[in-house]
Amino acid sequence: MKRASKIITIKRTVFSEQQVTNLSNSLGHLKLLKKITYLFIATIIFGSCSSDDDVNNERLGDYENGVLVTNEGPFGTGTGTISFYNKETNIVENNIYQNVNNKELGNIVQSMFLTGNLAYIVVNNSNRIVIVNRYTFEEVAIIEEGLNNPRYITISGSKGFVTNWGDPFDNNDDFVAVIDLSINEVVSTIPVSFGPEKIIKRIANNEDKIIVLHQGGYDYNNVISVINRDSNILETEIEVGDVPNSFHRTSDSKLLVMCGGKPDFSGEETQGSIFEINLEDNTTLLKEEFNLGVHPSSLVGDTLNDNLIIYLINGDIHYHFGFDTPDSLIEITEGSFYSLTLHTDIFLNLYASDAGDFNSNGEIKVYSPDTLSEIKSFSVGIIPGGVYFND
Amino acid sequence: MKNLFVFISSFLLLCATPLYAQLDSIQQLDEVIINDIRLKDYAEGYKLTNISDTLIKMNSASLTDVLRYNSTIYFKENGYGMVSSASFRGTNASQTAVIWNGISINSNLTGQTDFNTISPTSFSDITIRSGGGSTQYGSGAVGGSIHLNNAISFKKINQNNIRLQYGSFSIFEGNVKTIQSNERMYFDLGVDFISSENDYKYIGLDQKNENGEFSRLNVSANTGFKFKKSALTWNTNYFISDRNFSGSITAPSSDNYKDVSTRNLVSWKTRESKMVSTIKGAHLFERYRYFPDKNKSLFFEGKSNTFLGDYQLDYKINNKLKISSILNYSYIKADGSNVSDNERNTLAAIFLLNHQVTEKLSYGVNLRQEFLNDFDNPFLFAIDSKYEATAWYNLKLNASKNYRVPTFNDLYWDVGGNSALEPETSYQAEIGNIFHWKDFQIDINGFYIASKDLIKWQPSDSGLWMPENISETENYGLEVSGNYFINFKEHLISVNANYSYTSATDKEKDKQLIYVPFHKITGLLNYNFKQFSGYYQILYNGKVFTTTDNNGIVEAYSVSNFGLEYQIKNKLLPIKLGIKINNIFDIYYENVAYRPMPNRNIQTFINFKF
Repeated sequence: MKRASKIITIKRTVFSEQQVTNLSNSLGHLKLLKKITYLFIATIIFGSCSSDDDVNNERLGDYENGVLVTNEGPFGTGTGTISFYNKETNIVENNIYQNVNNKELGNIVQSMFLTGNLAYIVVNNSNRIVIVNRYTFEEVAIIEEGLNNPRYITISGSKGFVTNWGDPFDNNDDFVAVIDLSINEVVSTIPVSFGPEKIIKRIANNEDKIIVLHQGGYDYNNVISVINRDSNILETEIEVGDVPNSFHRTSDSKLLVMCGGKPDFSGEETQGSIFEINLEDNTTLLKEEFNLGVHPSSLVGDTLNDNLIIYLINGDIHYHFGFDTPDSLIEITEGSFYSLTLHTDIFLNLYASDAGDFNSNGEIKVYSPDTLSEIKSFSVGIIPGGVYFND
Repeated sequence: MKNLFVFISSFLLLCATPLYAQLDSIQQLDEVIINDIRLKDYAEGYKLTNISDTLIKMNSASLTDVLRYNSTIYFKENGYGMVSSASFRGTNASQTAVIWNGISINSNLTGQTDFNTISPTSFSDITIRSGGGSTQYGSGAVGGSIHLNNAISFKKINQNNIRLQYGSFSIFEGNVKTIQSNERMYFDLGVDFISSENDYKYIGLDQKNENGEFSRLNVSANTGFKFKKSALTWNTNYFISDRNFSGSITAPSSDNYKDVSTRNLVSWKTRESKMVSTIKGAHLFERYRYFPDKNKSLFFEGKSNTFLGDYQLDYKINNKLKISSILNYSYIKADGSNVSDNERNTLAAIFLLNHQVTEKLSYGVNLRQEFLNDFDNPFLFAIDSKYEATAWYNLKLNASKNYRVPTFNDLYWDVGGNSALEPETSYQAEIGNIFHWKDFQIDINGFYIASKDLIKWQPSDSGLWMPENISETENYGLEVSGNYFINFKEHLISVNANYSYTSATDKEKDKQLIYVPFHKITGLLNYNFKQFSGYYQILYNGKVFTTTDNNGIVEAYSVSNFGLEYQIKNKLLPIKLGIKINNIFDIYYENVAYRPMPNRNIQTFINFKF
C-alpha cells in the first residue's frame, strides 16, 4: 500500500507539469522523445514520397494496412468476432470473418497469430483454429481434431504450437498441440504443466525453442516450459513468480515475464513480480517485486526506448522506464482496461482495450506513450482481447 | 353425447370464466381446500388468469411451454428443455415468484425458478397473478407470480387417468394420476415422467442439437382429512431431473446438470364462528449438481433446506369486511461447493384487509413488515380496488411496493459474493379494464414498474465478478387478453389471444433490457365437433436484444402448432387419442442467441380414463 500512495503522488506531479507547460516542452522531459523526434522528421520526408510507391503496389486485400482486433464475444452462447480498423480511412469494420465467409467464427475468440499471408485464429470454446488469408480474410482451413480448450498459438518454420488447457478442472491433461502446417493437422501433443497460456518462440539460434507461460488456467501456476522446436521435447521447466501472464521480449534470447501473483481471493495471496529469463542458460533474475495486493498484467514494452515498459494494475495503465529506480514510474492512465498491445513502429502507439460491461461492444483507445495522450479511439466487438497489426 | 357436451362446455367455461370470479373459501370449510387462499380472497384488484387443464395438456412437456403459449410472460430458454427463466412484465428472472400451494419455491441459491423443472401436469390448478405480490408472497413477487395448486376436495371421487405420449426426438411422456376421495377423506397420487433425446436438427445448418438429452420424474401426493370444524391437509412433491446442457451453434458442450427437490406442507385449519385459523408447517429441499464434463465424476453442487412455520387468522368482521393476519417464520440453510454454510432467519408479519364498500366497489389493503434479516428489513404495502362500473365493464386498480432479497449465491458465492447487498425494491401501479359482452371478454391492463438497487454481477477492476445493488430500471407496458366462443349446433369454436407491449429500460444506459421483447402475441383457436377436436396455437415473439448496447439481437419469430384429438366413446374405458405437430411450418427460430429451437416435430398420445 505504501507504494500505491507513492504512485499517486508521482502521477499528480506529471499532471501538473503537463498542465502548466507547453506540450512540446513537456515532451522534451521524456528521454525517448529524442529518438521520436528524428523519426517524426524522417516520416515526414519519407512519407511524402512513399505515396507514389503505393500506387504501384497491388493491394493484398481489404484488410491490409490496419489493425485487427479479436473480440472474444459474449459469455455462454454467441460468437467471437474480428474487427478491422482501417488506418487510412479511420473506419472500423466489425465481424469481418462473418462478412467474408458468411459463417460464424465460434465461441470465445481467444487469440490470433499472423504469419506470411495467413492468420491463425484460436477459438477457445469451439475447440478450433480457423486459418484465413490475413488480407482478404477468406477462410483457408479449419483445424478441429486434437484440440481441447486451445488458448494461444505460435508458429515457427512449418510447425504450429498451440497451448491447450484440456479439461479446465483437470490439472493433469494440459498439453501443447503440434500442428504440421503443410497438412493443417495436429500431429503430436506434448503434455505440459497445467494452465499453459501464452506461447512464444525464442528468436536466437534459428527459433530453436518454444516457450510457454503457465498462467494456471482456473488455478494458479508458476512455471515456464521450454520446448525444443524440432524434437517436440519438453526440455525444462523454469520456476518464476505466481501466475505468469504476459511477457516482453527484450532481446533475441531474453524475456521479461510479468507474474501477477495469486489474488487475495485465492486464500493465499502472493506478490506480483517481473522476472527476466535468459534462454541461453535458462536462468532467471527477479527484476521487480510488487507490493502485496497489487496484481499487474498485460506487460508490453520497447527495449529500444530506454527500456520502456507498460502494464496494467486494476485496469489502470502504468508506464515505466526500466527498473533502475523505484521512482521510474512516469504516468498512470486511469481506466478499466482489459488488455494492452504496443505497436513499435515509427511512432509508439499503445492500444488499450476496454471491454465495458462485457456484454456490449468494447472500445480500443490508442495512446501515445511519447506524449502521454490519447490519440484516438474506436469501437469494436464484444470483449476485445487482442490487437494485431496487419501492416 | 351428453358427457361430451359437459366436457366441452366445461372446457369453454374454463377458458371463458370471468377472472373476477371469487371463491369465498374463508367462511366455511369448503368442499374444496386450496392452501393458497390469499390468491383469490385478497386480490380483487389484480388480474388472475387460470390455465385450464385442457391448455396444460396441449403443452404438457414443460411449464415453460404451458405459460409461453398461454400468457404474456416471456421465457428465456437456454435451448429446448434447458434452464428456463421468466421475464414477467420485463422484470428479471428472480422477480417472478413461483408459489406452490401458497409457498414460494424460488431457489434460495439462484433466486429463480427454472420453469423446466416443474411438471405442469402434477397440479389441479395453475393461476397467473399479474403484478406485485410481495406483501403476501414475499421476495420475488415483483412482476407477478405463478401459482401451482393442488386442490383437496371432499367429494366422492374415484378417478384414474393414464396418459402416454410418444413423439419425435424419442420423447416419451407418461402421466399417471389417481384420485380417491369422499366427504371425509381425500387422497391423490400423480406420477409424471418425461424423457427426450432432444437431438433435433438445426434447420439450414449441418448440425443438430447435441448433448441435449433430458429426463424428469415428478411424484406428487396430496392428502386431506376433514373433521367437524377442522381439516388437515398434507401436500408433498418429489422431483428429480437429469439433463445434459446442450451445445449451441458455436460451441459444443459436455455439461450435465442434476436437480432434486422435495416439498412437504402440512396444514391444519380450524373454524370458530367468524374466524378461521390455519397453522402450517413446511419443509423444502433443493439441490443441484453441475458436472462440467458428464463423463467425469467432478461436480459442483449447491443445496438448501427451508423450514417454514406460518400462522394465519382470518376474521370476517361482517359481510363486507374481512381481515387476515399472518405470522410467517422461515429458516433457510444453504451450502455448496461455492457457498459456505450459511443460514437466514426471517420473520414476517402480514396484515390483509378487504372491504366491500358497496355492491360495486371494493378495496383491499395489504401490509408486510419483516424482521430478523441481516439486510434492511423491508416494509411493504399494496392497495387494490375493484369497481364494477356496469354489467359489461369493470375497473381494477392496484399499487404496491415489492422486493427481492439477495440470494445465497449473491451474498456468499466464493469467490465474488457480496455480503453487503440489500434487497432490490420496486414500486408499481396498474390499471385493469375488463369488458365482457355475452361470449366475449377482453382485459386491457396497463402497468408501470420502477425498480432500484437491482443486483447485477459485474466485473470489478481486478477482473473479479461481483454483485452490486447498482441497476435501476423502469418498465411500462400494455397487456390485452381476449377470449371468445361461438356455438352453433354441435360445433364449438373458441378463440383465446394475448398481446403484450413491454418497455423495460436500463436507466443507466437508457436501453431496453436484454431478453425482453417489446411485443409478444399468443393465440389459440379451438374447434370441437362431436368427438373430434382440433386446435391451432400460435406464438409471436418480437425481437430481443442480447447485448446491453442493443447491438446484438435475436430475430422475431412466430411458431405454430396444430393438434387433433379424438374421443372414443366407451363407458367402461373411455380412450382419447391425439396427435400434435409442433412448429408445423418448420421455421428456424432461436429463443436465446445461437441456440436454435426444434424443427417440425410430432407428438402422439393416448389417454385412458377409468
